[in-house]
This record gives sequence, C-alpha cells and structure tokens, in this order.
Amino acid sequence: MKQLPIEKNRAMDFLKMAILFAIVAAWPKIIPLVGGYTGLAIEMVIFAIFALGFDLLLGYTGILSFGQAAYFGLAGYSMGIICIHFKLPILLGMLMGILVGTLGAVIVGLLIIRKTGIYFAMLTIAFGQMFFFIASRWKTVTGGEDGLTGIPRDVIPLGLFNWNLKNDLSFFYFVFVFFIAATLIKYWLIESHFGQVLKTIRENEKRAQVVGYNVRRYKLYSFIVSGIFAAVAGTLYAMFLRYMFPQTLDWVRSGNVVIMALVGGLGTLFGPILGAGVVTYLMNFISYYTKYWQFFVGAIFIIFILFLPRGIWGFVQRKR
Amino acid sequence: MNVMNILETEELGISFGSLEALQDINFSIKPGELKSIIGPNGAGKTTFFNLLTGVHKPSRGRIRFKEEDISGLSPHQIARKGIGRSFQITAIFPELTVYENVLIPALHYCKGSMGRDRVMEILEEVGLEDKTREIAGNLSHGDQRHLDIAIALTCQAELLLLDEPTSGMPPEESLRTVELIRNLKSKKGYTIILIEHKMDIVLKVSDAITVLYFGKKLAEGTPEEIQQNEEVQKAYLGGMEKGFSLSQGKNKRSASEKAEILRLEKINTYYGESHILQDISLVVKKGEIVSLLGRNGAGKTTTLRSILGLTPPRSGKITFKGEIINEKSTNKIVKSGLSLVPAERRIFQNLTLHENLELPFFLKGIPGQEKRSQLDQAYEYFPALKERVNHKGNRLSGGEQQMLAVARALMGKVECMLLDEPSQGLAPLIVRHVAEIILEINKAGVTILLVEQNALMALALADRVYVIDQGQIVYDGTPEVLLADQEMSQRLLGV
Repeated sequence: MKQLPIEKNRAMDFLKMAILFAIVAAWPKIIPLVGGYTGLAIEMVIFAIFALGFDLLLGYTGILSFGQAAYFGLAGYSMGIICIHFKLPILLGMLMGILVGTLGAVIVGLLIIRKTGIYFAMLTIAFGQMFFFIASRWKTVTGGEDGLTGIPRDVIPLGLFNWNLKNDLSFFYFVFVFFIAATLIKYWLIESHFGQVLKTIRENEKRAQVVGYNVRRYKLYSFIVSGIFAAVAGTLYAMFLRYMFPQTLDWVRSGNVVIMALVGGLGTLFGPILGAGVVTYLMNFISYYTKYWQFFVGAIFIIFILFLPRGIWGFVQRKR
Repeated sequence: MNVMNILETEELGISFGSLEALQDINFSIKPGELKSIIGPNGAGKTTFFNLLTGVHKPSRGRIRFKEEDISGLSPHQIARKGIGRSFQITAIFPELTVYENVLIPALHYCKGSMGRDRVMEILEEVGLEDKTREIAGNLSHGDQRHLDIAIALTCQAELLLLDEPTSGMPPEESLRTVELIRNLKSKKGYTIILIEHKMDIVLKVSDAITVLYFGKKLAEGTPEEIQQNEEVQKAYLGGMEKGFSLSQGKNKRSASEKAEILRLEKINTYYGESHILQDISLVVKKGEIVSLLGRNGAGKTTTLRSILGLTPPRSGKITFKGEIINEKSTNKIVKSGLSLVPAERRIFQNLTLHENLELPFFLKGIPGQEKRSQLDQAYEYFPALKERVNHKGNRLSGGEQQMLAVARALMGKVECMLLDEPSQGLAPLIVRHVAEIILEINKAGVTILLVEQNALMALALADRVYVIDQGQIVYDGTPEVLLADQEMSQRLLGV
C-alpha cells in the first residue's frame, strides 16, 4: 500500500496561535487571580520572545549556547545609552539597540561558529562574560555596577492619538505586539525550508553537509536570528525596567533561558513560550516567599529533566 | 584528461600525521559504469570516499569530476555538482519521518510540487513508498540502509558513492539491495562506485574492481581478472569467496559429558509492549561453542541483552554456573564471569587501544601480575594490536576495532563469552582471522555463545546451533544436520 505523506494542517496551527494570542491578550486580567500583577505579565511575555529565539538555536539546530543574554543585555544597554545621550525617540532607540545587539551576535557568531559541542558552549559563555565585564566596568558609559538609570519609556505618537507607554497595562500591549510578531516569524521560519534544514543539521550534521547544505552558514544564520530575538526582548526589558544592570547579560540569565526552553519543550513552537511563562512566574512566586528560591527553581528544573525530558508541551503532545 | 571519464583521480593521496592513509591513487570511471572498491579493513576505502566528497582535503593529487577540478572544494559544493553518497554507518535523520528525510535534502534541488513528486519517485525506487510516515529511527536496519541510499539520490546525483550498502544485512535482505543497485545502474543510468565486503555481490554487479591494500592500489580489473589475481588472493580473499573453511579443526568432544554452564528457561522479554522473546530456552555447556542464528530482528541481540540483564526478561529463569542470575544487575553478572563483545564493537573512541584494554581491570580488581599476563596474552592473540597500542579508538580500522573488542572481553576472569556479530563489516580474510581466534580462545577454556548473520562462519565454528525466528527457537541441533538439509537451511538462514 502506497502511503501518502502527512499533509501539514496549517489551519490547525493558526487556530492554536489565535487561541494563544487571545489568552495572552487577556493575561493582565487573568494574572491577578493567580497572585500576579501586570509587571509580572510583561516580564513573562518578554522572556517568551527571548525563549522563542533561543529555541531556534537549541531546539531546531541543536546548538547549545550559554551566552544568549549577552545580546539581550547588549541591545538593552545600547538602547538606553542611545536614548539617554542622544535624546532619540524610543522607537528609534529600540531599532538602534536591536541593530547593536544583532551586530554583536553576527561578530561573535562569525568568530565561533566553526566550533562544535562543548567548545562552542564554552566560547559563548566566554563572550557573554566579556560583555558582562564591559557593562560592569565601563562606568562612564554604562553606569558600572550601579546600572544605567533613566531609560525612557514615554509616548509614541501615532498621528491621531499618542500611545502612552508609561502605564504598565498599555506597555503590556506594546510588548504583546512584538510577541505576536515574534511568534508568527518563528512559525514561518520553522515551517520554511530554512527551518527544515536546521532540523537535518540537528539530526545529523555531517549528512546534511554531504547532501549539499552549507551547514556552517545555516548554523550562523540560526545563531544570528536567535540573537535578534534576544535583542528585541532586551530592548523591551530595558524599557520595562527603565533601568539596565550588568546582571542582565550575565551567564546566569543565559542559563535561565536554557531552562525556560527545556521546561517548555525544545523544538516546538509553543513549548518555549509556555516554559518562559511558567519559569518566570515560579521564580517570582517562590522568591516572594523565600530567599532560597534558587534552590527550588533548581529542584523543579531537575524534576523536569528526569521526568518530563520533552518539556511541558512535549508531554502534552505525547498524551494525545 | 580522457573526456570519456566522468570522474578521474590523479596521484591522489592523504596522510594523517605520519600515517599514509592513501597513496598515488589513479582511478577513473566512465558514465554508466559500476566499479567496486574492495580491500581489507583499514585499506583506505572509506577514506577514498571522504576525499571524493570533500570531507577530507587531499594532501596530494587532483580529483576531476566532469572535467572540472574539484579537489579542495567543501562537501556541500561537491554534493551540488552531482556526487551523492551513502554511509557505512547509517547516516539518516532519525527523528524525522521517512518522507522528511528525503524531502528536505531534495527541496534544495527542485522546489515545490516538483520536489514532492521527486521524493515519492525516490522512495519508490528504494522500496519505502509505503513507509513515508514512519519515524526514520524506528525503521528496521535494512530499511534504514535503503533510506540512507535514498538520501544520497536527492542530490540529482550523476555519480553515486555507496559505502557498504548491505552491511549488517542477512543474505535474503542483501538480495533486495543488490536488485536496487542494479536498477539504479541500468534503469536510472547512475554511475556507481561501490565499497563492499560481500564478494558474491561484488562479483555479480561490478563492471570492474579496484583492490586497495594499505592505502595503495593493489590491482584493478574485471571481476574475473581480480578473482584470478594471486596477489589479491593472498592479501584479501584467501579463498573465502568460495566458502568458509578453517585451518584448524574444532575440538572434538562429546557434549553430553560436559556440565552445563548457562541455561535459559522459558525467557520472555519485552521492549515496551512488544513481546520480543517468546519462551526462549537454550543450554550452553562448559567448553562449547554454541551459535545462535537468525534473521535481522529475530531476537538474537535481545537474547544476549536478556542474559546480561541489560533488558531483563519479564518471566523465565536464567542460570549461570548453577546460580540464578536474571534478578541480578549487569555489573554483578559480568563480575561472575560472563562477558560480551557487543555488536558494532562499541569501543571507547577517545581512549587509546591500551586504555581500552585496561578498562575491565578497574571493575574486576585483578592483581598487577595477572593483569600483565592477561594483557600479554591478548597481544599474543592479536599481534596487529601491539603496533597500535597508543592509537585512539577512532583511529583504528574496523578490523582492528573488532579485534580490540574481542580482546577487551577476554580481560578478567572470563568463563563464558557472548559475541554479537563479530564478523560484521569485516573483510573476508579478517573474518577468518577472527574466527580462528575465537576457536583458540575456546580451546583455552572459554565457553562461547556466538550470535551471527554470517551463517557460514557460525556453522563452521559451532558445536551446536540454535536458530531463532520471530522470538522463538525454531531449530536446535548440530551444524552438520542443518547444513545437510538444504531446504531447511535455505528457509531458516537464506544460505
């Protein structure tokens, strides 16, 4: 019996995304019911954008980076510095911040993409820590250990009316716009030929090369795109806090995004979003009750690795 | 340059450190031809493919493909020029579906619906059209080998390099692959270079054969010429293409007077929900060589895994030296004197040969004196290993790795050795060498349970034979009786 390949049900995917967007849109109204507040909702969505990009690297290409916070922080700092020193409007500042963050990913990517496995991971940490030290030592520009204060989050003129982002709730919907874009772009990427090739690299790099793919270039693109997602999230984070501090680009933060993607489910569209939400919420929730919250976050992470290695979304998919 | 040739190499060579892996290779092939490359393990056959596909850069010489110099190009550039390659160790994308495995590479060459049509065409060519939705990693070994070839076809290749396409396949499945290779050549017009150890296949399909020996071209010619070439006989074939014979006789003994050492009683083993072994019972007596034969997927390796506690049986009883072992953990079972030579050798790639050999001693706690004498003994069995003491595992050829795996299993107080397909991927002459060493080890007092696809080797060695089919024992007796009954040996073993 000739078996036809499974046709992808795109309509179903879009339906699922529509449901996701509806839930996220209502999130500021829902979150108080589970002990949260609008600020936490904003953070969850920002990290969802970060994790979406990171998963392209780890979940789809099979490359582990422990330095993605570098591009997150680099973009946030750059945006802040540009807005403060040159008095640029925030949207332009964001754009510049994202460009600088992306440039960072391009340069580091070009330097280290030849390396594989543990060597690659170590180099990402090394470069990440380099940016961390620049941020904490270059006091005149970054504010050093005290952080960079006074990052604007004001008004976006939209012709007919002004979008005032000072209010947390309206800033949430500003972030929400980027979240929708990030989700759709990620979906488009993983469904495209590009995303499919990344999967073959994850599965068997040598073979992918011998069927004619320039593996190194694909890996570099994946690294850069992941950096762009991190940069977008970083600028949003800078605006959200109105403040940047060196720990935002520390490797601990890079580690957090690894945890988010793993807990949610690697190599899936919804997994990293879910993981970012759950992990951000838990960190916030547990740290409210105990200063040993990192212990509990670690324990939860271990439980996931042992019992749900495919993450929450992977588990849900399996069950059906 | 001869314009007739689609591929030509000129004085091609590569060295790894001080090792001359290939030297002065002049090779050419015309469009539509099928040339085979044979030679002992470590002769440089796969290295030759690695040079042609750009995985290694040649140290000397040139490669021309369709009149264009391709030496030094990277693998993806060479693939795009029309050279497709399959791998000795199956290289597929295990977590993707069969369809995706072929589609994703194919999309690079033809877009949209044309790509999809091409994929179904390729899958029909290799006989996988009814398995498009399966996850590649779940396919049987034979189907995975065919999928590997299918992926090679996606590059719109004119030249196909097939690296041991039938490795690990039982005879009747190999026939399917031979049919496939013939079709690719005659119906689809591919030019093919084939690396293969199974001489019956090589002789059947090749227009010409090139023999490599220690990195050099030893001979070249038609199948008839190669068969009659004395040097080739000496270096590689050793008469093995005509059947299996051993230079020394088996231990003649009456099995009945020996004591039992290993006994399996009504073993039932499962992988998840699938019931793999169904009431398997077998007995191995002290000092015997017992062969367990059967097709791929019959349950041979699972039987060994059950004995060692790697996949413990759900019911049944396993006794070793009178003690029930099926409740014990693997390390205790091994400590009591059972040892395994796993399929595909499984040596430690990043340790040196010597370190690999020393590993079992940490487990078993053996005094220095005895350790040294055992190591000396191992190097005596395998003189070839002595020259490679400080080479890392991944620098050893297939044959050397197999010898190392057997030698490693000998370390410690071994009373019974389980061998899982020791002949897999080995050149005929080396298979014989390994067989003779197994016999020697046996004469030194080690009981042997041998699992094999290579029925001729296993039958030549064995005192008694069990044949397993679909998880059940279907034959239990002497090899002579099995061989004498042609209908039965054909049905059970395909020989």
